[in-house]
Amino acid sequence: MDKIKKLMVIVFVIIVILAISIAVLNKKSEEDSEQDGIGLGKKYDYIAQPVDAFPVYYTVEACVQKYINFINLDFNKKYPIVDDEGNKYYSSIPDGIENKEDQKEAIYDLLSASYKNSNNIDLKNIENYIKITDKPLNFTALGMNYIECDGARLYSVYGRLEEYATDNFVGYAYFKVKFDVNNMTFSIEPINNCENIDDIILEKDQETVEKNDYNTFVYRQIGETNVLEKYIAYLRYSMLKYPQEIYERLDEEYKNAKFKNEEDFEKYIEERKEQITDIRLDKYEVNIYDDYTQYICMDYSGNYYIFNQTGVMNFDILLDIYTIDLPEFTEKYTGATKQEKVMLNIDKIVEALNAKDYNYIYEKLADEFKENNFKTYEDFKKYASETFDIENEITFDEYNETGSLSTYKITLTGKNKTMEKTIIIKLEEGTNFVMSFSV
Amino acid sequence: MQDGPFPKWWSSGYNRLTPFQCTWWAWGRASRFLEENNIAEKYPSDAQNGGGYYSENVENGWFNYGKTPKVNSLVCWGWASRNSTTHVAYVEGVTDEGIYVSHAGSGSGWFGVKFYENAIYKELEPNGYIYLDDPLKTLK
Repeated sequence: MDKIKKLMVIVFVIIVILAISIAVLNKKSEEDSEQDGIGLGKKYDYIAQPVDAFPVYYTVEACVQKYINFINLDFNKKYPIVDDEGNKYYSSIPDGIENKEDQKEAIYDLLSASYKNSNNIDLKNIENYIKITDKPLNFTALGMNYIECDGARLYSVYGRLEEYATDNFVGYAYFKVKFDVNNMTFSIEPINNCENIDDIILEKDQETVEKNDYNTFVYRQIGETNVLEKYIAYLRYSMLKYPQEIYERLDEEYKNAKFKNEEDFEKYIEERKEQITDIRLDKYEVNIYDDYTQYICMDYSGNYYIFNQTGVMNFDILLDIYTIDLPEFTEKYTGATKQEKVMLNIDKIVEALNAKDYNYIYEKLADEFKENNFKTYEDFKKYASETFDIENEITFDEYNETGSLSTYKITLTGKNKTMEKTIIIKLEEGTNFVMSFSV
Repeated sequence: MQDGPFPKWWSSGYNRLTPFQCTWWAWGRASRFLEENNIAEKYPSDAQNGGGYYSENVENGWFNYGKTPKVNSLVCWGWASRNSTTHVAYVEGVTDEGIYVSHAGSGSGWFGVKFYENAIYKELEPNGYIYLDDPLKTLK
């Protein structure tokens, strides 16, 4: 009998332990799922990814612009329109909108059913939820994520709003946009009190978007060259007007190597305002890697701008190709002869010279050379800016080696003058080097 | 890479689509053209619905597209999300009278190169043509 009792106790204890273990495991699994955002029956079913298709990105942007136009309508002025070809032009008020009532109806027709239902929005109370103004605004999409389910694409998007008439900054705005690709219709939901696009949760939603007078879309046909022109235009405009946006998008390693802080970056821009104003895409090269696409762009002055892109407008920027070594440079350098290494380093110096990045060159000067010729950076900057031309092209003339030192006679052909220089280079560890030159 | 009776572009180790479906032939034919002309390693999508090739290309902006038939383009019929018959074929030639397409279908066989008079293929109302020799972006 005792044995039976003992056995029953043991079985009971085992059952209790198993039950507790299962409960703990279940809870942990639930927590993990919540963290991953893929839990069954949880609030959302899909992980949003950055949009990487050019036509989609700029079509969604155009849809948001359409909505922005409707809520910021000045009946006496023109406002921006992006047509199906992607051309931006300015028109009078949209077709079918003749007065405030029409305007409210158009806005109502663009809002998503779920947004209207959850807030009980109708034509009478719509202004309590949507602030209608009479100042036309431009919308520039700065980031976009998406999830996809059968027949529907759901996007979270954020962008910058500026007054159309003055380009004055109004603010950053966040939206959810839904595409019904069977009906080629869209709906939109403004997101208030949001500061990060990644905080916007996209939930699976396959409800159709019924067609009305305002909510159809056509995918824009936009190619890589057009997109890179947009990237360069964004870079040019934002460096001058929103430097903090560009500073935040700089490649981390590049940013740390090039600038002490944001103030330093702004000073860098200040010194190159004229040059930045002239940045226009001349040519580009594309490298497709497993987890990102690299666009190496060159402007008409021979300056490079690199966009390491993981989605449209989702990129890290490098403002030159010499401050940090790109993978292809390191590969080339590693396999190069001593003379070729010296040439590659001189190329970097001339790139920096053309970019008026005298600080980079000064950092590369040998200590003794600096001591004898340019005791301070300011001395060197004065000398370099007065001596060297811009847009220099380099010709390698004569090469010599003496011990660890390499000497290259070169000719610099600039925009206005040609000069000969002798560069002395000592190669160091990795891709490092120090140099001096004939003053 | 030939691992069966077919050249690389249709072999099971390279082409993951079901043999003798329209997508199997069109994907292989398009990939062969893209590789041989140094445009891309292969066609960027191997979706199984032939009609969806057109809308997928429009959304992704891989190649220029339109309603006019051109040599070395993919022609698509039907929509991915509707239950209508969908089909994709490769345009081998275009004349004033009609188009030559190579295609396969139903998992049963390769139909070879066939000529469709203008009146016939227009009646079939293709969604449009994907112009493989005119990429809109650099492809892997």
